Amino acid sequence: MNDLNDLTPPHTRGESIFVDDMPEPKCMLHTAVFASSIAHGKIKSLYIQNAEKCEGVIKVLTAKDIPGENQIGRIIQDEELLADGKVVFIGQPIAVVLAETKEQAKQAIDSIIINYEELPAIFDPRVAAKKGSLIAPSRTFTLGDVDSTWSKCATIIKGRADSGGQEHIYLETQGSLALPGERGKIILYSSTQAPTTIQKTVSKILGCDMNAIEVDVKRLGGAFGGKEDQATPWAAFCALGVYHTGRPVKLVLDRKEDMQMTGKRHPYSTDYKLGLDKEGKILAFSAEYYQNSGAAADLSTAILGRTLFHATNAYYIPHVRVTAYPCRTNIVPFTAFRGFGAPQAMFVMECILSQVAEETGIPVEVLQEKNLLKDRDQFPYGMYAENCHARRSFSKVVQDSNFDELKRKIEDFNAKNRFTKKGISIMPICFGISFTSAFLNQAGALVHVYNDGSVNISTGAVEMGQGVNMKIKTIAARTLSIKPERIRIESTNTGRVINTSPTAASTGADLNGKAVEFACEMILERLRDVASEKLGTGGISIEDEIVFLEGNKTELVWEELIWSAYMNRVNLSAQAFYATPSIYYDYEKEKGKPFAYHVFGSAVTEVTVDCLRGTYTIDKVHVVHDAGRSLNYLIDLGQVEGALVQGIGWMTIEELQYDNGKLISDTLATYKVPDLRFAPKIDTTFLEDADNPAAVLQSKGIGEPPFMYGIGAYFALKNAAQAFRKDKEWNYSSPITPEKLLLYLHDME
Amino acid sequence: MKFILNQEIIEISVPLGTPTLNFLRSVGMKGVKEGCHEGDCGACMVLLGELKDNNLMYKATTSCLLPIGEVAGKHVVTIEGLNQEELNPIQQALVDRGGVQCGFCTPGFVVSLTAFFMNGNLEKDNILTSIEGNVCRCTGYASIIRATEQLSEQIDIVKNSKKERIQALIDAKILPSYFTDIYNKLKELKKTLQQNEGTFIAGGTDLFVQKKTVDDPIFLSKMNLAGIWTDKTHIFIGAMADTESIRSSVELNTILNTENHLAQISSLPIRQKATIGGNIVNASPIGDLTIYFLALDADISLKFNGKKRIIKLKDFFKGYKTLDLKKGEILEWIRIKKEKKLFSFEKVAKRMHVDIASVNSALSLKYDNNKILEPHLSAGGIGPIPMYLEKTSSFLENKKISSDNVKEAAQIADTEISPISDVRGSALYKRLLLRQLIYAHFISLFPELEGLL
Ligand SMILES: Cc1cc2nc3c(=O)[nH]c(=O)nc-3n(C[C@H](O)[C@H](O)[C@H](O)COP(=O)(O)OP(=O)(O)OC[C@H]3O[C@@H](n4cnc5c(N)ncnc54)[C@H](O)[C@@H]3O)c2cc1C
Ligand code: FES
Ligand code: FES
Repeated sequence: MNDLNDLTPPHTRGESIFVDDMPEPKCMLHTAVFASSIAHGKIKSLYIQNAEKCEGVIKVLTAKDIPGENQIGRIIQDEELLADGKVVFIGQPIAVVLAETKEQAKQAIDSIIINYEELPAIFDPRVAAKKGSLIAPSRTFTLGDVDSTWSKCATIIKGRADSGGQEHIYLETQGSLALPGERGKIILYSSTQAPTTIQKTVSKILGCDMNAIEVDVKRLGGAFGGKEDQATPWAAFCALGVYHTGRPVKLVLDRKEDMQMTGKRHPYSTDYKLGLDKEGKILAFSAEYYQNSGAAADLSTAILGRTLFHATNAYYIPHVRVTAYPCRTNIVPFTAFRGFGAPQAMFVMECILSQVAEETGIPVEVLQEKNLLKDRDQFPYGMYAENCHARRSFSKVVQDSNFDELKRKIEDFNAKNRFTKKGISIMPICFGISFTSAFLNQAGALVHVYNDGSVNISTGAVEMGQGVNMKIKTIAARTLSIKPERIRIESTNTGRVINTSPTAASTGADLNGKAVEFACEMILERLRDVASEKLGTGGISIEDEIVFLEGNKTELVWEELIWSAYMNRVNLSAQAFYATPSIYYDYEKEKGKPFAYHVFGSAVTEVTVDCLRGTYTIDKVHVVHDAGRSLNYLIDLGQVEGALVQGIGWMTIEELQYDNGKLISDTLATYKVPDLRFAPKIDTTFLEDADNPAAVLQSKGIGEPPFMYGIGAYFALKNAAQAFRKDKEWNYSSPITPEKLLLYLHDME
Repeated sequence: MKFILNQEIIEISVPLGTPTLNFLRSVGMKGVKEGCHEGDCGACMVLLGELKDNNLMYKATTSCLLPIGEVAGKHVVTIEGLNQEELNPIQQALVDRGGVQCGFCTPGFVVSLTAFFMNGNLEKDNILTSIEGNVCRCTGYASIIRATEQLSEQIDIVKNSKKERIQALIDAKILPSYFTDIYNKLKELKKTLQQNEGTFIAGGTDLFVQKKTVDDPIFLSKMNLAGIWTDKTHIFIGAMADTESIRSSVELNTILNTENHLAQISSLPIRQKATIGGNIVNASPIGDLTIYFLALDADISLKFNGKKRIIKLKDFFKGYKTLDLKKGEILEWIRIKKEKKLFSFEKVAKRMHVDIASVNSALSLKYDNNKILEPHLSAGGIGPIPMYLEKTSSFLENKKISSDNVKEAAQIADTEISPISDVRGSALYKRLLLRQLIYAHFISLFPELEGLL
């Protein structure tokens, strides 16, 4: 089978339907959201009557209109759908206008009158921690004995690292369309990674059973974690609108609303301490991570956990104590974003090694290599590294990129040029695959074979550009050994596949693909019986749509086989279920085996800095990535490249800027994501002989891990900047914008 | 008003200031996507074709910033109007090379790439320039770039075709065959006339970012204000000249390097819309063209009811967004002296392409007998208006080129400016950056200074 994604042609024709493209039902209402303009305060009065009198307005929804629970918190129940009595961040929804047209709904917003009593607000996670304003208790992972190890260290360094947040900029903004059904049923079309989350939350909000809510998802125009929990409110508003008016309701945020009202990647601030022996082997590591969680939990605690799971990145450290605090502040709740807390941890570890290199004079790549993981090394959470490719990928990228020669050339170049300096770095990664909440590692699939031989598949996986549908199609085609053209992947629908986990944590194809494989095998089993009946007993197999008996080709082909099965009243539909085996976690002890496996890889990044102006280019990135046995080369390559560039953006030009809790970088004009010219040349190689028995068809999850190669850009830029000047202390703070770089390179008298 | 939408002539009556994007989606053209409604993402890209001197010319344009009134008498092509039974070679290349992930940006890329084939100079232009205004958040662009490489074959076919461009593109299966009729259909369509009072719309690339719709549009495009021309002493730029025409102007490039300097302004689709008049009258303290021409000591001509006055561009700006401009007065043209000077333009933004500057600056001077003559220095982003740095300019007059003089000039400039901290940078950064850009001006004009600054 070729490696195209044959589901994409309609995209190029503009024929793929996203929520906002669906035909609008008659009598559909439009919406506009009225949100808090202050970061923290009591609502003294809220006057919506004038808005309700505006032309075209049918109703204005407030907290009072919620028949069930006013609650959207999933892990921790601490977030209201509509603010009731007090507001805790700028952009928090307070009321929703339902009107005949979008313009009318927007206009009516201006007629809502609100009075606040402002309260002091917190924006800095360290301040929040000091005041005891935490979302949940802190968590600590320990390995070995840190305290008694410090005295054995030849070098000890301490410092602080800060990483900024990141806006998802999925190109399709959040949105939902709700239709009234019979007897209280509501059908929701939503741009969400988590259909069941919406189903469950909406049923709570409306006070009905889950079976009254059907969520259907065709595809998303990008998500990156931003439509996991953050898709819920918009769907809930539509459902609430249907509940009150009996009319279809649509809500699609415009870009600015989306940027102002939805959560982003968590900023972190971290204190660290690390000790090494004379040779540069790391002996002990301790850190305190202050996560800016925002005003409500959202997924913060799970993200915090993943930070701790990735505190040591791809390195083995025998003595570790790391603590993380989820700090409640008055900013839109921060949320999932590709990497889910791991990038923040890996950034800290690389800051540390960079600082060690500066202080000891040992080249950073030597330090890295010395401490890379190998099989049977233990992670701080108790799991052992298996099938570890950390060293293999590192040495391969060093070799493939000609790292040593590059470094020499760069030194030469830098010596000859006053203002133009080049820099280079290596970024190794080790990323655990599985939801760290073990119960989420389950998936269902429903496979139908129609009596003409065509196949329809539903799973819990949501297609958002990551190619999961194509992978599922591939898995089914390979398992059934039929032409992929016979297979159609259906929308993700809570009526067909139930209790789905979000499509997240790079597990979409792993979990759902495995369930599909099982369902296909169930059908195959029945088909083999049908064939035996026709052909006589013996080993039956199907290859390329032809039935083989004892390895010999027969006349029986797929369509005929299916027809016979149907005529013999054999079930041609199968539902299957998969739960990742042997993963567990003990939260008391903070030990267990939370991951099915790890993904490894390394990247070399080359950059050029214009030290006169503080500007830079990311020239080239050489990636060696462990994709297991790739299910689809083109899709996996695209995941590596896309994630890498997003990671570079996070480290460099993507800067969330606030003015007293109000986001001021709230458009594409003021929040800059990488464009065509900013993106580097990328050279990607997949590790060979890297089969992964722990996942479907020996593959590996790929959505998130390559994001963290982007961290290399930061250190390559530092490397270049320090070729210009070294006499100044480096402030480990990302993103390293042209502003920060220029302020490092020059002083203003 | 009437226009051609894909294959069909249609007649509509909607408010003329309605963004074309909103109109197109309301009539079912759902392949035209909204990603930002501010000209920054390219998801809403359409082709706009019109007769210019009897030639049918197309460009890609962001329909979110395009008031529907502007398309009267023109041809609007959406992705739906490019689709044929089979994927066209552009679509196929994107599929083959994995240049498509979520697909939300994809129709926009297809439209922009089509514009390259229709309008581009296939010998010389870089195909990537045609998609510099398209954002893709999924792919990291590498696969899209590979797709453009796959198109080199098509480029050769079209380049080598003896037929006129549109027919060649139909033969190459890039355009559907109905394009052959458009020329004649357009000839029959009249452009509508308009009212006399209201809001002037030039390219709309500032206006439609600030307001989502304009109730009382007056389309300056209908007033014959474009073009670049010369007389004995001056080069004139019509207020409606767009940034891309200025960039590629032969007249201007004989004395300046606008070709390179202005490549860093916005993106091709925006440059083809954004006018110099709009840039000046919008009075953004950071407008690139304004800063550019301030340092060329430009004059501008303002016209009202037949009455005309000519003033210095630097005297036009009175305070933050306040201008020496009467209600109803139109900026007609801008002119600079036709003489060769040393000139340098610097712009630093967070992202080097398609981004507004944190600070920009321009400097022109003559250097004769070891002396600086007629220096003019301008800078943006460091005060409430686009600034002509008067004191620094007069300090430089008659000075020698030396690192001390350059440093002193930068120090004087620092006393003339009053930057504030905002989303484009802290005040401290902007001060430092202006100093560096002044150094950069002198280093690029006098490379021997490099080791000294
Ligand atoms: C994506 C994007 C990127 C951009 N990048 C840049 C950039 O890199 N650098 C930069 O400088 N700018 C940039 N801009 C801003 C904008 O494109 C420029 O300022 C442009 O030159 C404005 O011209 P316009 O013709 O579009 O003006 P319009 O929006 O049509 O008009 C602006 C104002 O001027 C008035 N006006 C226009 N012409 C006249 C006239 N002849 N007489 C009297 N009044 C008039 C209008 O009434 C309006 O008030 C960008 C904009 C976008 C959307
Ligand atoms: S919608 Fe983004 S450019 Fe028009
Ligand atoms: S493919 Fe998703 S934005 Fe380009």
